[in-house]
Amino acid sequence: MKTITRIEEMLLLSILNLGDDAYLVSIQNYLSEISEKKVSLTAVHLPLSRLENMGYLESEFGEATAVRGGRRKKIYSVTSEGLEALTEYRDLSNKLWNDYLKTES
Amino acid sequence: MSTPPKILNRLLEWIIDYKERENLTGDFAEVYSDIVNESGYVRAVSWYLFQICKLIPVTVIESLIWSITMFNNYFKIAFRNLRKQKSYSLINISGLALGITVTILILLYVRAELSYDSFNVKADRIYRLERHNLRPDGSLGGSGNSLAPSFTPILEKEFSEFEHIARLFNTQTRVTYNDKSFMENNIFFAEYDIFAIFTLPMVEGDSATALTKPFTVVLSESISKKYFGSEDPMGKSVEIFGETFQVTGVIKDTPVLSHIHFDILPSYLSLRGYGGSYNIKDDYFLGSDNFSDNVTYTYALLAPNADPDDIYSRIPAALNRNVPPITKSNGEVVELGKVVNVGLRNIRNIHIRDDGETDIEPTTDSVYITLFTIVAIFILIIACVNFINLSTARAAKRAKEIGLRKVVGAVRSSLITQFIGESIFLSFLAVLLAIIFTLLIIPYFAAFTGTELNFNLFSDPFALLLLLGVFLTSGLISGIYPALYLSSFNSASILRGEITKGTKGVLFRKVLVVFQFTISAALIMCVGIIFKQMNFMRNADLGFDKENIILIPAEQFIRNNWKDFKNNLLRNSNIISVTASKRSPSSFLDDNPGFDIEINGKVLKTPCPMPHNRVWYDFFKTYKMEIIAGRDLSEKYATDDSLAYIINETACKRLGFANPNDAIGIPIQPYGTTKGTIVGVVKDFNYETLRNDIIPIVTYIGGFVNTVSIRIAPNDFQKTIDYIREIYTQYNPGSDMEYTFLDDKLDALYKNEANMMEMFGYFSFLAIIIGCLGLFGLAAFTAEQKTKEIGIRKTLGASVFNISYLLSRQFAKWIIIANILAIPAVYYFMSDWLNNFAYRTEIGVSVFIVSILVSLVIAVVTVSIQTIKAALANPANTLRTE
Repeated sequence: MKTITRIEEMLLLSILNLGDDAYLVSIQNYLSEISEKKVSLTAVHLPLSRLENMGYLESEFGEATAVRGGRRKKIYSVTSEGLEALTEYRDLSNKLWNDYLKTES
Repeated sequence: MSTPPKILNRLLEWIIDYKERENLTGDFAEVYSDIVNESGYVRAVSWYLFQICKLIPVTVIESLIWSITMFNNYFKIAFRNLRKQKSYSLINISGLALGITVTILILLYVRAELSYDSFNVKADRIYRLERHNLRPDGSLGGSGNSLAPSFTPILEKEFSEFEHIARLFNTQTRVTYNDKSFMENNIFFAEYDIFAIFTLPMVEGDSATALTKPFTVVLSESISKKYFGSEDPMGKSVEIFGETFQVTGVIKDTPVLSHIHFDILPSYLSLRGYGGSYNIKDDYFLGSDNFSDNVTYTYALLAPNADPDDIYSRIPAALNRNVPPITKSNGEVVELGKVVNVGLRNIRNIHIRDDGETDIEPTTDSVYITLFTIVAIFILIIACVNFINLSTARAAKRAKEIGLRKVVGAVRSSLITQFIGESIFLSFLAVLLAIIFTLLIIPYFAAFTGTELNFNLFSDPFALLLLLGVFLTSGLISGIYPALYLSSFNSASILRGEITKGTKGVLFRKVLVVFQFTISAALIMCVGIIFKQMNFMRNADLGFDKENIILIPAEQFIRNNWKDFKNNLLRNSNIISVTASKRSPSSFLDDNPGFDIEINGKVLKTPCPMPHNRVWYDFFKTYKMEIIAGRDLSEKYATDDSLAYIINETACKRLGFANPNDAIGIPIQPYGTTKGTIVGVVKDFNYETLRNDIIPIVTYIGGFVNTVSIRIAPNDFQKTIDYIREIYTQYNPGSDMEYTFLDDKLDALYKNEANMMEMFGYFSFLAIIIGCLGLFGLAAFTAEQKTKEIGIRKTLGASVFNISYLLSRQFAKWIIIANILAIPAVYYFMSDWLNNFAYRTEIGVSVFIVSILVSLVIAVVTVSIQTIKAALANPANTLRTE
């Protein structure tokens, strides 16, 4: 069983949704938009490195733009293990929700 | 679109770990540009700055963790190296430790010498007033340590800058309390101002009133203990000069580091009515018209902003205002301010001085202070050079490690850090060792130098700073070269084994060894020259026979019964001759009031300075001084006790008599005596130390005497001394006779010099030992490098001698070069030193030859221990290593 946290789940999903353009700033912007509150860079960067260390993410250097002072982006993509962990997390969540809804009704 | 300010950008790049440096700074730049668009430039910059601040703690912690990891590794490797190369490490560390120890000891000694008299809180304002004799053109013709007491009232009246002036009259006499009676040397009749000038805390009594009345006395704590034991001394009476003095105070002992030690301080007013030698108008000690008998030491406390030079320039005019000019018999009018001035010497400049004169207590020539400081620095340099040398020699052994470190990614700076760190670690070990050595040696060293040395690491910022300085300089200096040298290796060539020979540093090491031995050789030469000079002075012809003369103080009971006493002594056949004099050779001739002399019918007033020496009969006979013209003073001539004078050869020349016989019969009148004639000329003799030229002296019978001189036969010393003691006690039952041998007393004049020389000798010896440690290490290294060569040579039939010669040859060459380099510097410096002495030896070639031989022998012995070991090794073993 692979456990991830909620923020990690959110990050993995954001990266999946962003597709080829998932790098630090775009992820931060996307999350801020969706959650409608300001997410800081550090709050994004630290779990990203953690996920990368755990092998759920992999990264490669993307294109460089003028606004970045000619520096390349670090583009993240979800590995198959990441995907697996995400699915497991969702199944677990679902089970918990289902049980709760059953007792409620 | 806008980019962050460059400088902030740099900062961020520097903070961020290199793995993510590019993408993260890029990300930051992008966000920055967004914020600029949204909320403006100021907001963006402050955001950027805030991000940097947030990152700093993380960065610091990260780098700390890594440096600790690396440090751990460096430490481990350093320690392994220490253990693996035990003898190298031992030589390296102990050499440096020895060097540091000696440096610390010397610098502590120098500090102690320089801190003389600084226990006085107001030391910078305390001046001693000294007599300056002026030449007719107004230039300084000579000076003394003391001053006639009559100057003081005038100075007090004329100069408000003198807050306090205290006159001190020093005497040596017997002090008695009940059954206890001792000869005391440090008796100073003192004015009560002394307590306002010097810092002399009172244990008992009140410093404001203790010395205000006649016949009161203040004692030091230890003197008080000596006479009174556990009794309370206050109010008790002691006897000095046959007078009764009441103890009114006890002061703490004067610190060791003082140029003057106050043991017994009778009040100065007690001297009222005691007279000097001639026409006293008012009072000899309190102030009269006598400005020539310099009998008191005078100390003054200047007002905080007073300028001593300004006062000095105004003194002559002040003297002239108060002292009427003297009209001499030839009509010449002489103002006092034209011939005398009063010099102001700061109290801190009394113990250390550049004229080498003796003071109340032995002084230190400033040359020695310079010399010792130089030696200390040299020794430290030698020790560091050793360290550098051995470390570079060791490089070959570390080459593989460096290559490997480079391959796995060590950059040059981290290698440099490692090696400097390692040498700092070693120098730290050396410093620790040095502290232990110093603590062990310091009591002996202090006893040897006779000063007080303080080495308290925790309460003494000087010692701490000194150690820290020595530790860092030796660590850094000795680390920098190996660090730069070792890290410059190319990793590929190291790993291919090209550097293992360590040939790259050979020239550098040669230069270092030559440099080191240049210093050692210079020290050996200096010691040689100083030794030669001391020997020269000790064996110099003094103009009299210093052997077999006993000196005893001429106490009152002896003076009063002189003829009887003398005849009683002469009854013993081992006592050859007896005399008494105001001053015996080896002490200074202070009485210099001047004289009139009549040459060719013309009366001259003191044409040259000529101190008086008052003696009783048989003076010249006792000292075996040769009368070269005229005759000796003798009881056979009825008027010899008042009208006959003897001058010395130098006086004869100064007065313009080409032939000593021309001086006989010339009328002369030293001031304070009656007019008489010169009856004899004595061959020159050295009254003061050989540092000084012989001065003109006039000798005559009469007056007060201090010392009895007895010439005895060279056999049965003890019996003769017992006999003298027996006679002595007949006149003063119950007292103990103190005596000295003249030659001991003369040696004591040079004791300071002898002590300094001995110390200098030891230091040089240590410098050489440290140098040899380095040489020993290098020889071992060379032998090791040539193991195979030696093995092959041996199999081909070379003898042990051949191989030793092969290995020692180069060292011998270096040492000869070093000696040759040292000669000019030594010659220059030591000629300068010798110029301090009126009587000096030649430097001569022999000193240099001896030095070359000595250093060669020392070096060859050191090296041969290694070379013989290498030469004796079995070639089968050495050649099998591959």
